[in-house]
Amino acid sequence: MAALSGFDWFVLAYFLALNLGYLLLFAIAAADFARSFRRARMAGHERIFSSPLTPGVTVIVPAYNEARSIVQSVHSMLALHYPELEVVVVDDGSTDDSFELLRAEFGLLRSARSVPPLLPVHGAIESVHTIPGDDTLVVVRKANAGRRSDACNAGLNAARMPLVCMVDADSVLDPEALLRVVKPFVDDPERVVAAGGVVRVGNGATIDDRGRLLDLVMPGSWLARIQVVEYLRSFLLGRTGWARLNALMIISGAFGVYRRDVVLDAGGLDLDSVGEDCELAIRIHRLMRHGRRAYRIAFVAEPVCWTEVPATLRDLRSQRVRWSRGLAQVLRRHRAMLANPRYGLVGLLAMPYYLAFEALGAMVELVGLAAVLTGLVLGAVNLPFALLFALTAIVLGVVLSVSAVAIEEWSFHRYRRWRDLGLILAAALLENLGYRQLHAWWRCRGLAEELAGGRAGWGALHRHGFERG
Amino acid sequence: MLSALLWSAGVLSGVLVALVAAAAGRKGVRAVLRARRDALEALLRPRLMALAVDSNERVPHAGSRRVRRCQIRLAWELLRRVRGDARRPLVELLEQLGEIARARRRTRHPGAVMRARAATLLGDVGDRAAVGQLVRLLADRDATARRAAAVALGQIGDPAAVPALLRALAGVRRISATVIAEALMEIGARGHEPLVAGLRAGSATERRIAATVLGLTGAVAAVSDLAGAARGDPDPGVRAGAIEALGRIGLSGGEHALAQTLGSSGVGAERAAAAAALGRIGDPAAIPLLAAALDDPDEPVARAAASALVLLGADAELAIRVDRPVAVEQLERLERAAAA
Repeated sequence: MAALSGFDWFVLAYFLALNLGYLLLFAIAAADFARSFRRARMAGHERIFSSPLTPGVTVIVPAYNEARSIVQSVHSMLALHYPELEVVVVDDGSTDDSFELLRAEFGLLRSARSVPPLLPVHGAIESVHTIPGDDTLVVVRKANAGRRSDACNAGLNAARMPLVCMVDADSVLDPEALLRVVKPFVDDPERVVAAGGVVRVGNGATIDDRGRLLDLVMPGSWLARIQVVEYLRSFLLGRTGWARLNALMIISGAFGVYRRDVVLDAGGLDLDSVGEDCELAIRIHRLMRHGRRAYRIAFVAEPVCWTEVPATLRDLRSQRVRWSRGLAQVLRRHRAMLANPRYGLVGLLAMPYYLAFEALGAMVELVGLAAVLTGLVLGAVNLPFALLFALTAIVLGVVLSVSAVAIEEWSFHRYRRWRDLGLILAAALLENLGYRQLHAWWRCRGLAEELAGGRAGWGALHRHGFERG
Repeated sequence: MLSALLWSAGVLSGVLVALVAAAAGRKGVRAVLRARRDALEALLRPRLMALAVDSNERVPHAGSRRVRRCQIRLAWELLRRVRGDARRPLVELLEQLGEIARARRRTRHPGAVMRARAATLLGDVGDRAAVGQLVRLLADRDATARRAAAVALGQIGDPAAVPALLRALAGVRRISATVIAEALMEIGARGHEPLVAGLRAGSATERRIAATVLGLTGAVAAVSDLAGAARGDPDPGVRAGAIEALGRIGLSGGEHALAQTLGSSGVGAERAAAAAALGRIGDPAAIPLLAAALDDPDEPVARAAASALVLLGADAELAIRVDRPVAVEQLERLERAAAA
């Protein structure tokens, strides 16, 4: 009984620490937004477009069976407002007619363009195709090796620009997204080695054929609405906070820009990892620290990548189990960095935080919840304590989610309608009543699968596509 | 325990209510302010656009502070979009409204954003009288203010600012090399003399940026200095910048230095830049060296050599080297261009 009671107090302290940690990150992020908005007029994005010194960008689009959206996606990438742009689509052994659609739409011809083997790629390169007289679009066809990272490495090999931007095939970027995410590289070319852009939920977005957002409303399903809040909290605010501390551990695979030479030095993406985006960012931290090079990994909150999130429990479960497994895998692989002062705040703060609150946190949450309920039944825990636990674990979580919504409303206000504000606030409440606990269960499964070993797969995500305007 | 619980619940509830109120309130206030602003701009914008076209046009006297601020905002916005004679009436309007004088004073404002905005306005209006204040701002403690000052000095275009801009590349409060280079490019040919001085005697970063800008601004008179830097500078970044500059200028005078670089076993980026530069300069004497560079193990060097051979009209050299993918790629490009 005493042990149970003691454990309950530990869980209470855990939730308090978790939520206060998040609040601190939010405060850092909110201050960063306020600072950026006041300086927006002087940002000089239009100068980045017109300058001959702006580095070229290769947008790498790994694609596997994306027939439904690949043509529109490539059109939107080609329409990005950027002076020197190259789009490399890696057709990763698609079994549908993704390539044929691209070939017909863009008049692709087979090219003698070589793809130097700078990074390891397991799936053999079969052919390279370009538009006659125009090097802007390159399509590399390769055999599938079961990993997105394999396709990305092939794209990195084929890229010819000094910066590379890795996106998902179904990502839709704001037309100005590249100009904004490249700005840190322009402002600090010697130190900035990578920059992440924010990924937001695009379910409910209407876009045109050039990838421009025409209208944005909250998604129709509550599952997607809850993910809107989740993405605001974790992707927008959490990552802004970590980047401010130069301890950002994850650049989303859906939208990240890197110096190509640094990625090549780091060895490209890990072919065995399911958390390859996180794993690459950590490996870049290690590379820079070992080389004693002054560096920064930035996060830019304004350029937006819209992505379609899972709208069914089955797809969401598959995604979150994979994410959890990927994080556990990465933390295990780079455990030498944990609490190691050699790696600065990444080792001393970010990795312990991710271990304690992201990787293991799900287990603590679920076991803690079970322990409190058990304690209540057995009389080891009194009602006031149970209510205090509920306050700390749930109500404080609601405060966090609503804080994220409020910060978004004050800063980016992408959702214009009053109805959408009402829905997002309701989703912020619902997220903590059932969804969070279900998510914790999936995260535990991911952790268990990683500890049990075996090869993780990506699974198939069923997409509906964005509304077209 | 119970009182602490109730107190905590009360505090959290209050915080929640405050957050919801903040979000909703912000949305409501923003909608109202935007509607008011749009209405005022709808009245003033056509008058200001007419002023830009016809300086005899009169803009109504700004009776209230709100109207004056709107006029300033619109005039400034238009100023950033128009060129030539259309700028003058807008600058005069801003002068009349006292905004330029205020901007000069605000370069000393305690707030960094105000200093940066002031510098931005002074640059946009091209206020030569503010050069001294802007040079001082290059060492500001705030990065945005420093950047704005550098951009403004480029817009104003006074060559006297070149040495200060080059010096701003170094130190704890240094400004991005890209921002400085762009400012120097805007100053253009008037700044060539101090840039050549920087190429000869500055720090490595100053020499590199000086070389880059001399190339981008077509500094023909600097070719011999650039050729010297391309071969003799101890810093690889400076050498690469000088090589690229020679290619951009595209006139003879540096071929010997470029050929030496291409034929050396030095850094791949320099050799690739040298190959590209030789192609742009267009001296046929470089063809044998470029043909040999098709075998370079460094792919970017071989690719640059192949592109250079195309520029020199040496397709035949490519045609006999079908064993090299870079050559085949260039030939394919030529065929497709011919077919088109």
